[in-house]
Amino acid sequence: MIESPLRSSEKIILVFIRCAMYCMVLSILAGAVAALYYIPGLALKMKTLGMSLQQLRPLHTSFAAAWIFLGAVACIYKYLFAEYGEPTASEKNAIKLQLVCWAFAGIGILVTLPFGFTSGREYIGFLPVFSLAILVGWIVFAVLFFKKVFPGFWAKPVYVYMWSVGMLYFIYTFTESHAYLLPFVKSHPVIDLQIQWKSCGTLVASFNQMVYGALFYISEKMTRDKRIAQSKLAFSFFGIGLLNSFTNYTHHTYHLPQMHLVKWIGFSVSMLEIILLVKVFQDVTSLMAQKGKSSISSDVAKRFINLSKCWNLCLLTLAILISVPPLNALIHGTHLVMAHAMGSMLAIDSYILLAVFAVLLTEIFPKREVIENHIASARVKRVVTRLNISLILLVSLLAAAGISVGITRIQNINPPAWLAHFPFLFVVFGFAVAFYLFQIMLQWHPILLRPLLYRRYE
Amino acid sequence: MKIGTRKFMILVLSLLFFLQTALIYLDGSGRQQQPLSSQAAAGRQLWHEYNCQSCHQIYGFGGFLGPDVTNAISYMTPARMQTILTEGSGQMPAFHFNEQDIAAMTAFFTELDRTGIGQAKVVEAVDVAQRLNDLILGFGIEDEKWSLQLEQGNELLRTSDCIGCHLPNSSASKQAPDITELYSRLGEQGIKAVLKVGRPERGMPNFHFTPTESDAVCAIILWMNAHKIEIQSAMNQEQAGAQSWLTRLPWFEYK
Repeated sequence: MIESPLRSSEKIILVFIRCAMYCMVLSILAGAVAALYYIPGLALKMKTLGMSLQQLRPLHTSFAAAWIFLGAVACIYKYLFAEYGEPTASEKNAIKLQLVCWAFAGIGILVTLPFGFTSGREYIGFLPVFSLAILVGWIVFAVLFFKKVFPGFWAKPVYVYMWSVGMLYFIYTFTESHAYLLPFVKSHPVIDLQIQWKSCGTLVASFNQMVYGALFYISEKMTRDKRIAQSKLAFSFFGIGLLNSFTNYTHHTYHLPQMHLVKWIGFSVSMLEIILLVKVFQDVTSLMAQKGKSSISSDVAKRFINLSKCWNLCLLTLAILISVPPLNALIHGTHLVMAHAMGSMLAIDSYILLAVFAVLLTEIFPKREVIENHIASARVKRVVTRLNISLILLVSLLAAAGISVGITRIQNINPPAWLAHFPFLFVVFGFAVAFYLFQIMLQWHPILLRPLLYRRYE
Repeated sequence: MKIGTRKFMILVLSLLFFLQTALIYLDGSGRQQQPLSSQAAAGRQLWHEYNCQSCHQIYGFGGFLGPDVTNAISYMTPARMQTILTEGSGQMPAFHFNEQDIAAMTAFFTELDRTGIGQAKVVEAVDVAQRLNDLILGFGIEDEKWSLQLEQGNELLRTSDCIGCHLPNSSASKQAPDITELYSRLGEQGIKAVLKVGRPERGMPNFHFTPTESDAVCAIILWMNAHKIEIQSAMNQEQAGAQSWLTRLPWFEYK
């Protein structure tokens, strides 16, 4: 047997995949411990240990965003190296700089947040010095990316457009989210909230664009059909999705004292998502029609993608409903919003990224026994099903709690008695989701940790 | 899709993005409001330093463990605010803010309250509590056993905001026991024991009542237990008026 060394491109991709998965583990750990805080008796004990949501929530959200971004970046590098060849020496230096900046930010956030050094802001709950490091890393990455894709950009597939938009969006909106540092914004809470919601909404849109781009990329690979990413339909949906991405957030600000034009734009454009909903519904029904043949394929990637399509149908319906102003007023600030956010993050973005990783790892480790024993093992396939069941339970619980609280809150009466069990159910279902995600990590981690060992050719 | 069409689409979308951004940045609604005073700005700084947004929301933006605080100042008494900011409440840690910090936070919440309404409600807790208070006074005037001690106890219920959590008929917005049932559940000694230290694990603060005040509160709770049928019946009639909440949901801003 001759051990085939990894190419530089493969090493780089594996580094990003590994970092992404570590961020996922940190996020689920912080999230699981944060869930415990919901149990009143435990919260008191956790308080005495210096642990509360003040530290845990920003840890959870920061590393959740990092997992998504790093995962998408791994896929983008795969595209760049496959399309344009191995990285040059200067490109490797740029990638190292990018990694150093992000590692500094990641480790810094991990160390400072538990000690309570926080900005107190949503999604960017860490100190601005780390924001600077993150931004520098992104700019380096964006320069590298655009240098490669710019020649002949307009003829590129839709996923290149999505990644381009995602990157530019991120750089702009990440900078914008620090507007609170300006004295004028700081002294006007309503203006601060307007900009904060706008930047958070567009930040989410930026990583959605990156992830959907990755989905188109691997779909093209899996089907070997380049028309998928070049069709009029793909670009049309990209256009509608993009339009929604920078106006949709306004459904969170219907009640803010701001001009109605912005609210009407948000409402009208949100309703355009019904077009997307129809397409997703068609996809899911054709998927269901294949049942009995091979609808949920033995391939892990296809399994995750198909599940994400089903979730997309449910969560898109939910998003459209909560964009209707009176319904929005009912559930605003309740756990239904958490169901929407966590559901989308886990069941759409994370499922797609796990599918992407399954494809990327299969290409880097094509040996049959590695695929069967690790990447797409029987255990992983079982875990996917159990993860999905746990996620259904978690999201349903959050949705039910949110609707109950919303209805009773608006009447100023006591929520139903069953909600007393909410903290415990939240912990059980949340832990189940965390456990099964961790199981996937455990299956894939050995090949990430010692890739040369698993990369053997006869 | 043709390249020309792609370019056009990206151009239009970029223009729309910048137009949307300009609308937000140039919107005068926020500018028309008074900037925060220096004391309120200090309170806001504390809000960020202690990451209050991890549990609480402003205009629905933030964590979901604690309540939205946009208009908290309008339904909390100063005593309650002080207790929460020093001793915490339920899962909220005890921050032991000093007087200066409490004043700063109070100023921040006061000025925030003036900006708008953070949560939609069709029935206000303050209104319900005030109506109950009026009801009790109304019943009390007719009751020949109504005394100065009961009047004091009733006033303490109002100023300590007990009614905000302990309303009869499960009408309360918090899951606190029905106040008309408390005496049957705990008895006099049980009530006094709770009044002495609160129930921090359940979110009830310690109100630091004096023995006289504790006796007065106990007396009014006993009186309410004796008159619970009339009180609950009157509150039921109040609640019936709120059945049409579905048609009263707001479109945009909450009123």
